[in-house]
This record gives sequence, C-alpha cells and structure tokens, in this order.
Amino acid sequence: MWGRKSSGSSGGGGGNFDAAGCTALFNKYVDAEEDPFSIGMDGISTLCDDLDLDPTSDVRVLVLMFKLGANAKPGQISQSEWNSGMQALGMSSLDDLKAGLAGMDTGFMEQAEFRKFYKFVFQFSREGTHRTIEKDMIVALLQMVLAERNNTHLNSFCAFLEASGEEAVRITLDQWTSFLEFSTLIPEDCAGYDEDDENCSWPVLIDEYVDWKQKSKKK
Amino acid sequence: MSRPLAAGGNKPKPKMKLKIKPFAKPPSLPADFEATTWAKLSASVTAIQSKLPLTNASGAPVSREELYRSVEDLVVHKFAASTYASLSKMVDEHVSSQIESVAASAPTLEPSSMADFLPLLESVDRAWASHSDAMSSIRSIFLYLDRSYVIQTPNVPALHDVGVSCFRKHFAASPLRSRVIDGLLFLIKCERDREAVPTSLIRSLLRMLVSTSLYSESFAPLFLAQTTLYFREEGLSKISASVPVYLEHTHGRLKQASEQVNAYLDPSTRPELIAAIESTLVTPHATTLLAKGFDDLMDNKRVAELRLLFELLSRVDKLKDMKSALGMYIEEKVRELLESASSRKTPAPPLPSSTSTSSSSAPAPSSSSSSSSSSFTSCVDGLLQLRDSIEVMYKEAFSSSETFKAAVKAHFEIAFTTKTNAAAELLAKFVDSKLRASKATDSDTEKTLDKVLVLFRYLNGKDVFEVFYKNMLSKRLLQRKAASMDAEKSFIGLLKTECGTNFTAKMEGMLKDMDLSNEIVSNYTSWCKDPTREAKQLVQPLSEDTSKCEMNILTNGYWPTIKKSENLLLPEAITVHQKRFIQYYEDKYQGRRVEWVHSLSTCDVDFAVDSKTKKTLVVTEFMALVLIAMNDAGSAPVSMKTLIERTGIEQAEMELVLQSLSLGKKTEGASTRVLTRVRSGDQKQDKTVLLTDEFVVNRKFRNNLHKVKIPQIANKLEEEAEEKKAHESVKRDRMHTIDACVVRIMKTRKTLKHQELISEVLNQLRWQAEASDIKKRIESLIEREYLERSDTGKGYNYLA
Repeated sequence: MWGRKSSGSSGGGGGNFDAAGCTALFNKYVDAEEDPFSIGMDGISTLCDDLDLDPTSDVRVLVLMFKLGANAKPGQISQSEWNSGMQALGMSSLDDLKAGLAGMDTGFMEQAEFRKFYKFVFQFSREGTHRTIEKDMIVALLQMVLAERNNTHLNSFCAFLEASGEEAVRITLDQWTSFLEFSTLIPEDCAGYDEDDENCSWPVLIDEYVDWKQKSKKK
Repeated sequence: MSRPLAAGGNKPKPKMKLKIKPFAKPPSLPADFEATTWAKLSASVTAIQSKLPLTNASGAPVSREELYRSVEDLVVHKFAASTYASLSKMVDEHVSSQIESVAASAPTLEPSSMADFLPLLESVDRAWASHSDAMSSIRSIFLYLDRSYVIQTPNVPALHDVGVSCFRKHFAASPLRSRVIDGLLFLIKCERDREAVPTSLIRSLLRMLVSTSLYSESFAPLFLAQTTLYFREEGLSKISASVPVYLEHTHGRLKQASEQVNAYLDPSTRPELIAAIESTLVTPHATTLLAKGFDDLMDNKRVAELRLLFELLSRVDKLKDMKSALGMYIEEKVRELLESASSRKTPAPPLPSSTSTSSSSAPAPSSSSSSSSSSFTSCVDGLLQLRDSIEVMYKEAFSSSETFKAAVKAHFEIAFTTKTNAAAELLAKFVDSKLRASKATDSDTEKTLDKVLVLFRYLNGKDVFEVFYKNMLSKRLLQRKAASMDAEKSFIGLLKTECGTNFTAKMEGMLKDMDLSNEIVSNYTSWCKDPTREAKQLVQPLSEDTSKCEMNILTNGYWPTIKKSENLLLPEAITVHQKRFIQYYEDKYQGRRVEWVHSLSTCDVDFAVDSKTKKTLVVTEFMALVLIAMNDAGSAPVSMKTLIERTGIEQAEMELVLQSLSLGKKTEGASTRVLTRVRSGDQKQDKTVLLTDEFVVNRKFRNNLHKVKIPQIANKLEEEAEEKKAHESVKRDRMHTIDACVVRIMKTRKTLKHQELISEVLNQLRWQAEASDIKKRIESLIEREYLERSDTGKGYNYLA
C-alpha cells in the first residue's frame, strides 16, 4: 500500500507516523467480540462521535473512509486498510484526524478524484453482499455527497426518485455512476437530450428521469 | 401553174420577200390601261363577293381566264403594287361591311337560351363561310399576283392571309366577337347540361377562330375559366352523393371532354381541359371520396368503382392517399377481428361480402353462438377472407401496383403487431381446430393452411405462436385427436421452410416420439408375452391382468412441461401396469428414468349403475381414482375431504373432478352426473364444491349411450392461467435470448457503440424487440459484469 497518494488532502498532524498509536486508535473502535480485525459501522459511529461528526449528514466521514481506502467490504475498514491509510495521510491520533477534517470536503476535489470518491460512496454504503442500494438511502447519499458540487440535477433527481411510486426501486452502481456523468454533461433543462440519438446509451432510469422532468415541467 | 386571169393584166409577180418591220412607234399601253383593267377586275371581285355571276361591264359573262390574264398584264406592266393595294382595300371594305351588317342584325337583347344565341352564331358562320369562299375565288383569279409580286416583295402577305387578317381585324374589333364567344360557351355549357347542341356549327365557328388566330387568345382562356368554374360547382354539389355515383359521373365527364375535343375543340385544348376537370372534380374531393367511400367500396368489393377511383387518383397523383386509406382499412378490419376473437363475447363483425354484385349490407355473421371456439374460427376465417379480397382488389382494381403490394404487407404486419399475442394465439387455435377436424387431409384444408401461413408471415411474435402451437400439438397427439399425421407433418414442414429447423425441432421431436412410443409399446408387449421368461419374474403376467393399459412414452425435452402430481395414491389395478413397465424399461434402457404424467391420462371405468345396467365411463385418471375410492364407501356418502385423503389429489384439482362428476349436464337421457352431491337443504346449491360436501354414487344414472364420456369441466381460470404462463415463458425466453445475443455480439466485436449494438441485436432477433428492452438487458449484463461502459462514452466493452 506504499505509494498511495491522496491528492488534495491537507497534511496530517505530526511529521512522524506513530504506528503504535495508530493501532491503538484502531483498537479503540473495534468490537472485539464481533470482529477484532475491522471496524464496523458501530465503531465508525463511535469514531464519528469522537470527531464531532454526524455520520448521517456529514460527508467528511465518507471522505475519511475513502482516503483511508476502506475498499474491501462495505461499511467496514480493516486493520491493514486503517494502518496503511493513516500512514499515507500521516495521521496517527485523534487530534491528527480532527485537524485533517478540514481538508476532507468534497468541494475542492478535482473531477477525477471526485469520481472515484463518488463511486466509493456507493460501494461503501451497500449492505453486506447486496449489489444495489434502495432508493431512500440513495436520496440521502446523493444529497450528502453532491451538496458542494453544484449539481444542477440533484434536487429534481431526488424528487424523481421519491415520486417513483411504491415499487422498491433499487439503484445499481451503473446507474449511480451514470447519474454523475449525466449531470455533468446535460444541462438542467435537459436540452439536447434526445432519447434516440447518442444519448440513448444512458440507463433506462435516466431516460425515465428526463421524461418525468419534462412532463412535470409542462404541468 | 395556171392562174385565173385577173382583170387588168397577167403579169407574174416576182417572189415577195417578207420583211417585218418594227413598229415605227412602239406600242404603248393605253393611258387608262390600268384603270380599265382594274375596273374590270374589281367588278368581278365585287361580283364574287356578292355571289353574283361574273359579267363584264356590258353584262356579258367574262371568263376567268381573261381575268387571270388581266392580272398578269397588270403585273407585267408593273402595276402589281397598286393592284395589290386596291385589292386589299376592296377586301377590307367588303369584310368590314359584312361584319357590320351581321352585328347590326344581331338581337340587342341579352340572349338567355340556346334559341337566342343560334341565329347570331349562324349568321357569323355564314359570313365567314362566304368570305372564305370569296377569297379563294379571288385568289385563284389573282394567282399571278400571289405568285410573283407577293413572293418577290418582302413583308407582303399572301392574298389568303390578307383575307384572314381583314376578317380578323374587323371581327375582333366588333362587339360580335365577344357575343360569338359567349354564344359558344353557352352552347358548350348546354351540352354539359345534357342538352343537344349543333356540334357542327360549333366546330366550324371554332375552326374560324383558329384560323383567325383568335382561338388561343380569346376563346381558350375564357373556355377554360368557364370549365373550371362549372366543374368546381358541380364537384361541390355532387360530392354529397354516394361515392360510386360520383366516380361514375367524373368518369363520364372525362369521357365527354375527350369527345368534345374530338368533335369540335382544337386538340391543343385537350390537356388543359382534362387538367381542369381533374383539378376541380377530383383533386379537391379526393380526400372526401376516400374518407367517405373507400371502406364501403372495399367492404362490398366494388371492383369496378375501385378501379375507377384508382385511375382518377393516379391522374392527379393522389395515390398516396389511397394507399394510406387502404392501409387504415386493413388495420381497422384486422383490429376488429382480433378484438372480437379475444373478447369472446360477441360474434365477429360483418365480414366483407363474398359476392361481387353490389349488396348494400354484408351477410349476418355465420356463428350464432358466442362460444370462444367459434369466435376464433370465424375471426381467422374473417382474416383469410379479408386477405383474399384484398388480393383480388389488388389485381383487378389497383392494377397490381408494386407500391400497393408493399403497403398491404406493411399494414397487415402493423395490424398484427399491435395485438401480437392475441394474433399469434388465434392462429395457433385455428390451426389446431383444422388439424383436429376429420377433414384434415382435404385439399381445402391444405389450401386454408397455406393461407394461414401467409398470415403467419405477418406475425411479429412468431415465438408466441410457437409456444401455443406446441402446447396444442401435445394435447392433440396425446389425446389422439390429431386427425392425420400427414397433415401434421406437412404443416410443420411449412413452418420449417418459413422459419428454419430451429423453430420446428421440438415439434418434429414430438411427432417422432409418437412413432417411437408405438414401437416401444409393441416391444414391451412382446416382452411380456415372451414365453421363455420365467413366470415369476414378471410383476404380473399379462394373463392375470384385470385391466388394460395403453401407454405413450415421451421424451421429456420435446414436450411442454406438465404439472406432475406427486402424491397420488393409486389403486393396484394401475400400479401393476406401472411396475411391470418400469421393469421392462429399466431393463432395456438402463440409465433412463420414467415419470408418470397422470394429468393427461384417461381411463375407461366399468360402472354398474344397478343390477341391470352397466355402463362404461370414459374419464380422466383423477376422476377414475375418485370413482374407485367411492367403491369402498358402499352407499354411505363420502366427503370431499375423505376423497382427498384417499386419493392424494390436490384440493383445487379435486374440486374440478367432483364438479365434472356431479354437476355436469343433466339433460334427459344424456346425464353425466355419475355422483350426486348431498348437501343440507339450507346451504346454497351452487357450483362450488366445499370440503364438507358429501357425495354418493348416482344409482339413477341414465344415459342412452353405453360408453359415456364424462367431460372434464374446463377450468376457465386454469386456462387463463395457462395462457398467462405461456406469455410469460415467451417473455422470459426472449430476455434470455437477448442476453445471449448481446454477449455473443460483444464477444466477437469486443467494443461497440451503443447504437451499433442495438441495431445488431435487432437484426439478429426473430421478433421485433423494443430498443428499451434491449437496453434493460444491457444494464443487467453490466451489473453482472459481462460488459462495462467504455470510457469514451456511448459504448461498451466486453469483459472476458
């Protein structure tokens, strides 16, 4: 895991990486009964309390997990990921983390990195082995993740999802990532979106969204 | 020689030499030569113009030869120019006075009827005629002038032309011109109004106009304008009539126009005249005609009128409209037929009448009952008839135009596509009924099946047809209802040529199975009878059988999946057969498994109604199990619940069985109620069967037949559920086919743009799929990581 760079992050606290302190910190949040080698959602929640973050509304939690590289399984971070991630960030204590929080916002990320983060959010927020996320969660995530990114479609897309009836709509990774692409390419009034043209490779969900939007505009 | 003596001497005269001396004074023309000659000539001219015989000043007839020479003289002596001038002047004056006199004698009142116009027209005609005659006489006299002076001098018109232009000048200037033209137009209008008109008079007057070059500038425009106006009004007033009448009328008008041109109009007017008629009678009303009359014409097979309509519209280039009207008609009719069949409520709507004589209403539908079987037969019959009639129309009325053929095909396809499942199911049912009928080998049936194939080609969802057809085929074969194996094979052959072997593989398998099954059974029987086998090896030797069993052995993969009943408690009479057969089969074909399909089996059960009557009941296996279970009950009523316990039949199925056995038809002498339901009086006597209901054997069972078939009450719900299942299996199959197709394409191409992928897939699929369906499958494949979206956007990469 050496050589992993996290661009755009402000440097952590002290210059020396304290491996022991890092591990100790890790163990603080681990639930030894469940799984001593990874911090689960409970532990992350506790960590957030310590950092004064609200995990349900503060995107920096996710950014932190992203930068630490919690890729293996959704909703948890393993010990090796923790160690290498903390090391890469140059943080080994809670204070370091607190200090580094300022740099963990999404507003200043470059497009490429944000994309990766965005994808990470989906993967991390899944439940267990599911490959999809249900729409209520999606709406919450979108609002959290895209808040600072000037996304013109955010609100109407969330309204669309919520209005899409009782069917338990589950969103796939493909749809999730496509939404980001879509909102960068197509302006708010969906001008130039022609279902039969080059735009036809968007997922059906996006087509339905555009339809819905244009219909509700007519009303 | 002797000469008679003359008085005074007889001196011989010397030979005389003749000497001709020129005139001492050359002869000169008399001073008034020109004047006199001209006087002579002009008198003749006047005489000609007045139609008097030619005389000279003193009254003696003068010959034309002389006049001719006089002209020649004048010309030779260089008096040509003045002669010409004087002559022209004379002609001019004469013409002018003629015309004035005609004009003066014309009635001053506004003419309003033909009688009013005629005198004027006739006098003009006469004037022109006499003028022409006079001119030709004059010209023959003054021919020398024409041939010499006129030719040699430029810009001098020939005498004939002089005559014409004089007439023209005066005629055009006089009010006669407009009155004559009005008169002519009036006459033509009368002719159109079907009055008799003097066509020769009109012709000669028009010729006059042509000669004087007044035709195209004065007459023609007015004529065309009048024509247009006349026909426009006529079109507007007549259009409210029925379409055939209107068509006839228009056709008549066009013919009349042609005749008019032949009779008196100048040929140059013909194209404009025809165009005027077309643009007033046909073009503006084309849409109305089509909207109003086309459907009726088609329904009543009015070939002649349709052909007329076709010709008229092709003149004005409105065939497109006719084509689309035809298309709409086809779609409408097909839709009606399909809807009537699938609603199963009303009989089919009136079919196009099959007689070609005009009949104002179509015959009443032939099926009086509204049961589903006859409605779909009549629907398909209707479709076939429709198609036949269109074929006829196409050949006879539409002159086999290629574009119409294509339009017919396209619209049939569209019509079928909108109701694709219904149409496919319908065709399958129809073929099923034909193949069950005892006349399956009739050449008529063969022809019908051929035509059905034509309809099949229009079908969009051929795989839907396949599913239904397979189900029906299996039922036919197993219930031995297929009238003729040859017919079956030939129809499958037709399908094979149409759609390829893949399509028909399973069906052919089913047919082969039947043959194979017969073989196996006969082998089995001989195996049972084999005397070399030790008696105790068999579960039971054939000789001890208390019942007979016929078997069909089917290969699992070819036949549609049938519900298996796991838990039936079978009586020994049946199990004996099963066990023995399994003995044989497992011995012969090791490694194969035999499964019994009870839901399709039937039994013949001997029924001792009472001590005197014995009947044989033909029932399904489930019914037989129930009846045998009743055996043990004696005369005590048995509840449904008990029956379920004793036979192992499921409740839903049991309900059907009991309904069939106890609640069937109760006609006199044809009862099917083998069991009687015993229910306490306060409960409703309805068709549903409850667990608590009890049954006894009906000792009062009466039926005239000895072998009675107890029909299984068709469970509507079950049938509909089956249909739904069929549709859904088609849907599922299609999804899988799309998946396989996409993966196959991507595997070879590795990377493909979205549009290209969609179009490739559409090409390969056997049915008209929706691009959105394909898109959904692509997304599913992305999710399952068969594909990924390419970074360059709008495309996909294959993931190995």
